[in-house]
Amino acid sequence: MKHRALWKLAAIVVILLVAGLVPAPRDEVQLRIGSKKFTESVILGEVLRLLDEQAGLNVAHYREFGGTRIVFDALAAGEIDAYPEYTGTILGEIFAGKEVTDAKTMRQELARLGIGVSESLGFNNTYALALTRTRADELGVKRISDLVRHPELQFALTHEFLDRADCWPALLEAYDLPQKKVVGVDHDIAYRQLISGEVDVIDVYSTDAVIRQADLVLLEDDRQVFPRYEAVWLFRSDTASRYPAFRQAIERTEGAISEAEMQALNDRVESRTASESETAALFLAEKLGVRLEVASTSYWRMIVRHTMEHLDLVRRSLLPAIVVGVALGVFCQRWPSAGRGVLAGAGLLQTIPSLALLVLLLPVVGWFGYRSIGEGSVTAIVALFCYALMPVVRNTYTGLEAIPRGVVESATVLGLSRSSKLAEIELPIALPTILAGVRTAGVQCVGFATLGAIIGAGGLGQPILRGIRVSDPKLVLAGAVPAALLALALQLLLDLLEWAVVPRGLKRRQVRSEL
Amino acid sequence: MLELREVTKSYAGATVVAPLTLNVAAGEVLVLLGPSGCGKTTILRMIAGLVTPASGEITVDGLPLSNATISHVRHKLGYVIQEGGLFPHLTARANIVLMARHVGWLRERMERRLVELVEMTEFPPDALDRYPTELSGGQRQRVSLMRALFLEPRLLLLDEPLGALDPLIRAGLQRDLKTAFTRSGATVVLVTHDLVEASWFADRVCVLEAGRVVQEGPFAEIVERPASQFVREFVNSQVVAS
Repeated sequence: MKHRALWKLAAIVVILLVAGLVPAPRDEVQLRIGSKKFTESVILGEVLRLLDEQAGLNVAHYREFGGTRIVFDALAAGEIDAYPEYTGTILGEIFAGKEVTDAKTMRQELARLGIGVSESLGFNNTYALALTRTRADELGVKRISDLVRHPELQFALTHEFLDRADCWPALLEAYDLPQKKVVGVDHDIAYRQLISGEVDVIDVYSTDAVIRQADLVLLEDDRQVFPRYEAVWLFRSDTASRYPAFRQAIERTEGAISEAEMQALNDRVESRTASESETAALFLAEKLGVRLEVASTSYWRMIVRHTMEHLDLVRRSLLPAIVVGVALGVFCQRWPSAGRGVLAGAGLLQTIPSLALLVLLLPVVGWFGYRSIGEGSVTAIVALFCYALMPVVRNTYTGLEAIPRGVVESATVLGLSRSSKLAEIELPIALPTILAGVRTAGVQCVGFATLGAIIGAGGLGQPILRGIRVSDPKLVLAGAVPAALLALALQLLLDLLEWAVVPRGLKRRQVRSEL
Repeated sequence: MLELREVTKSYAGATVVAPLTLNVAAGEVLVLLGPSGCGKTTILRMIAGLVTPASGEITVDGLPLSNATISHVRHKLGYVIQEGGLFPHLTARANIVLMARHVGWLRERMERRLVELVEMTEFPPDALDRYPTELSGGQRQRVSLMRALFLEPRLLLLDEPLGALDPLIRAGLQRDLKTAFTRSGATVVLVTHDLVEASWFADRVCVLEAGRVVQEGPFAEIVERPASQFVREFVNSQVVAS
């Protein structure tokens, strides 16, 4: 009886922690394939996933979960088993600044990390100069060296292309190009200017879907200036020896895709003719004679699945943040000098840009041996936890500070112990303020959780990312609308909770009836 | 019953309470009287263990106050402050019986005691289930008083208990407080700046000026034979005002 309030507090803490820390049950997978955040990478990932699945392996594909660094690090850390990469990227980015310049040393260096490299998948996705077919025929140009004869041509090049030493400067030197009319623009704009005839030549990636869409002609790099960007698989050697079927699946894709075929596949997805899975399945059927059923998930089923993933992220970050946040808030109020440090620290955590926090946390989480990417990613949960912490800490602190001194001292002189005073008097009085903090944290958490998709943690950010990639507003809405509704629902739920648990005496400053 | 020996307190170099020695007999009602800032509240807070004296010793019922004894001493204390200090999230009833519940009183015993106190303080029983914000100022002070008296304290400490009330309510509560003091038989230390209150309650009055007792004795003596210019002025200011 005496410690009822303490028991109640302990029970709430245990319930919150258990509900917040227990991971959702998941299918155990044997293989994890990753892909980078652009269409071609996702299609290739699907190709390998389908082949592995057909070989009877239990395989997951973490789609579009990051750029080169994140995906490569995930492979090196063993969090994924394979992903599609380009030789030029391996040399130029992954081994940037190291003395790795040829295929042989590249293989050796990768082998030292336990990573194998497949043969080329058959296409080279490098930089190229492009013209419209009509203009190319008109001028009679087929090779870059043909351009020397047409100094009047107008070029619109991307800034990256202009800046990279192995692109425009190298081209100028190797071909001695005479053109003076060269402007730096964005890729999309360059492309539109080319179609409208304002400019004659632009730079593209050789497997861009637009090449096919707009019937562009790529000029042959006859002096071989552009670096090779052969598509290959990077895979974990240990996984390959454990699952021979996985190694065989990789071998089946070697040399199987031409540049034109890859353009067509990209085009299918970007013109929204088919999903990545369907496109990959179609390719396998036509090219490798592999017939398989791609379960096409309906729009609504997809939304439900991502919503559940989203809720899981919020649950596992918000609930522990409430417990830790309230504890820290109490600490700050009790030991103001140390507390200032905690408040400043929690405030600082909030100022770290979310993307940066995610990337900074990746190696830390990995170092502790937790899954840093993919579904149920601990990285995403830790990042969300950090963001959710501050409002709870601050509001707990403020709520406790706002209790009139006379109230606290009355409790002290009545003879309540420190813990009873906290559980029975102080926290309950601060409850409305604490709940307001939880509400802020919760709503923020639902919003921030969409960023989890960047590291493959799933959630409603996934359709948003995909929607942006293939410019499909319907997909963006499939993520954004449920996320907004979730935030509203959470707010409503917490309002209800407040209504139910906050006693009347704290709810209103009402007119008193004078005696 | 209560003894202060050479007790001092200062804040940031400024003396708030100069060496103070004070004895309060069992059942006596002592009023600490003085203008604000004279140190009377600090003295009361030291007795309640909320402020630690810089030097000197406080003894309650023969037990010197220290970290080790404070919780034991507090079980004999009742404490009422100006704004009541009620717990806003608990009903009047829950405020009053809180400590009895903690020390394990049975329901019947709590009910009996509650009835007793409600009657003594003339508190409307149907208001027991209201929250502090739903009570009038006078009712809140009555709840605060009942809470302080519930476990039958041996020593009752009151800091301007009528300070926040308007005159009419004040008169009623003043009467009920007096009844409560007499019926409980507790030793009382009451802090006020109000001569009328002092005259109404006090067996003995200590007049304080800047942390020092400047005059001590029955109320009539203070008024009739002020020991200093300060006491005379303090008394006159209120006589003129009223």
